[in-house]
Amino acid sequence: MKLRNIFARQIEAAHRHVLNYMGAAGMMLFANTQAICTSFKVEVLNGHHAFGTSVTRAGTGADGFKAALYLASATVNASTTAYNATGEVSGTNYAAGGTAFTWTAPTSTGTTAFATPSASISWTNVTLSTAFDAVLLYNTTQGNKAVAVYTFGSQTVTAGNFTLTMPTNDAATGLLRIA
Amino acid sequence: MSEPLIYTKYGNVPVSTLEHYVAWEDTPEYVKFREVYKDKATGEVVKESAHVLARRGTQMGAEQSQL
Repeated sequence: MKLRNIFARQIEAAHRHVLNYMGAAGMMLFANTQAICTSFKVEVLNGHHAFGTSVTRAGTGADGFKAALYLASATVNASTTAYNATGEVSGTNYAAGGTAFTWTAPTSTGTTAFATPSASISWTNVTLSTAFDAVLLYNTTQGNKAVAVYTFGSQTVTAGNFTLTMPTNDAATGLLRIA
Repeated sequence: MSEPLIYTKYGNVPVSTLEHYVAWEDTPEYVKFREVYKDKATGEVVKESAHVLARRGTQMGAEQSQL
């Protein structure tokens, strides 16, 4: 009887010891969690990480970017690697290569990093008679490398304005997001 | 008082000679507002503008594999 009580107390002590490592939900509280660090996602947008050997950065300032419009008959998509004049719109007061813009400073909310052009991108008093439906954002500092393609439905413009207004710059709607 | 003019593909023309149309396109990705001026006499589109509001951008998911 006495020996059984000793064993019972030892088992109870061991049980309490295990419970100390469990949370209210009864889950084991590990200190380490597998994840892609959120800061890394922001730093990718800031050009901090070079995984390959072909990257060279000349300065510490932000790169230059442009937005170019493409005909509905063009082929710009995920496979596009750089700006190409093939398929780009042309017309009165539209400069080949598109128009320059800047990004908001990359930041994060939760585990999502995001950035959005800091202002609307617009073309004023242009005539683009052939239907177009896409804009390519690309990096003019880094060899015109492609960033992203956005589509908006086929459109023509005659002696008028074309404006792309950006979405709210947050983790849910920012134009470029890394989740 | 002089009649108001508006710039078109044919230069400045009296607004009274044109018909004005607007159209909205509402999709999950964007909202587009189109504004068209047509010559009353010929029906030709002489001025057209479009304004796109992007509702949301594009997200890329960062995935990692288990070691």
